[in-house]
Amino acid sequence: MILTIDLASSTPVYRQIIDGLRVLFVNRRLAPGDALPPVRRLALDLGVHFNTVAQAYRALAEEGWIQIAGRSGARVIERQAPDAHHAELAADLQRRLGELIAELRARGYSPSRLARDLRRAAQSLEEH
Amino acid sequence: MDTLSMEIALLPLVWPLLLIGLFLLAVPDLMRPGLFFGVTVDPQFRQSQLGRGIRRRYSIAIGIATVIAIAVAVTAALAAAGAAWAPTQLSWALPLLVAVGAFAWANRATRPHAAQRASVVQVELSMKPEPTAAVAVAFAVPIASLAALGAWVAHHWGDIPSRLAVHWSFVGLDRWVATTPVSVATLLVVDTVICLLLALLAWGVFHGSRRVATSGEAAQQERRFRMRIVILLLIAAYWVVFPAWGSLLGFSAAAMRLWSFIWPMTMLALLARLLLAGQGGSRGVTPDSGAPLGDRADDRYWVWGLIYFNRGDPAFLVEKRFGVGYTFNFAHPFAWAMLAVIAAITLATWH
Repeated sequence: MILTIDLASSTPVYRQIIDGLRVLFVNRRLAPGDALPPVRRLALDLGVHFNTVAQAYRALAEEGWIQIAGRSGARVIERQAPDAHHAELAADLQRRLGELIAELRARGYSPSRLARDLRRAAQSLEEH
Repeated sequence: MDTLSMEIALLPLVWPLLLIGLFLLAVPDLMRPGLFFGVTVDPQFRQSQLGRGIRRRYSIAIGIATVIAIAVAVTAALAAAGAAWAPTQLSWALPLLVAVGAFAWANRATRPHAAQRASVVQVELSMKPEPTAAVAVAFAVPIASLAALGAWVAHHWGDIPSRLAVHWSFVGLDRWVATTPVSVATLLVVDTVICLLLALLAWGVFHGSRRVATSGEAAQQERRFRMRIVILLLIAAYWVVFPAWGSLLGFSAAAMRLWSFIWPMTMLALLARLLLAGQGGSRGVTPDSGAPLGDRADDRYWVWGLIYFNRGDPAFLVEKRFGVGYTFNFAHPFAWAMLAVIAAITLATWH
């Protein structure tokens, strides 16, 4: 289970940690019962301040993904998906997808390649 | 003194200087492949014409300094029949000072060719934890033994020898003071503080430094390397406490001499193993293993490739870029606290 962070990205590091770990939780690469490294260890290995990792862990605990266990780190827990407000989520998805597509196109990603990758992502979702 | 006796008498002066010279010549090869005189470079840079030129100049400087140092040491010893210790000891410092200067020069010459620092960091989340508890117990033994010794001495004051060994070298114990409550307490307290400091450094290697590689072969080699450093610190702790035991309980001179020989030899063997493994165990890693380039520390925060000062780095120990092992991040308050303790111990044991 590799967590990848881009220190030069405009997205704050704590946000990247949250997003990266959430992908691992959703894909079940990290399952309930699995341990996460202690805040101190992960911060040292990433080369970021302890508070950055602690903030990400707190946010994930609030979302119900992990239980923070003091100095020993955190553990992934079973999470009940909250009641979905589909209309709201769909609007959020549209907005964020639109932003992502615009950003990638601005960075030179071709529309055809983008469409192919989105189709692949949709296919992978349906298989799950 | 005949010629043969003279040559034999000079050997102890010459071989340490030769060893220092050889070590300093080998320093660039001990670094991680992506580091060249403290600068993160493409691994091919080392073999380029420019890289080879920088290396050659560094080697020439070290070679000349070592030859001069040996000449000064031998001349001083011959002229004053062993009494001129000042020039002899100063000659030891010469290769080191020249090496620092040559390294700083090479660092400056290499900087314009530094590789672009990778901004993407990958961390393996499921790495095996370090054996912290076992190491803590191993360090607790010498520290607890000093406390036990203190309690024993308090109840058996009349049984302890009239003089106390406070210094030892390869030949055994070589400096004593009269046994008084102050000298005994000082010995036990200083030894305890040294052991605590060594334990803290071991803790720092596990929990105060960054793992450069967290997955694959490079991570395994690095893990072994860190463990060897911790074992080295452990051996040093046991080496420190034994003379207190021997001196207060009256161990035989032969036992002390044996101890004074075995422990440094063990440490030297382990040091040799560390040197063969290269910085972070990097010499045992195949070039295409996917290990990160360099040591993941930003070149901007290395002064001359020798001193690391980065307020934004949570690590207080980082891999050295000159030599093998770890050095302090001098921007970290914990590093200064440890340096203050080291300075206090040095002052307390000066005489």
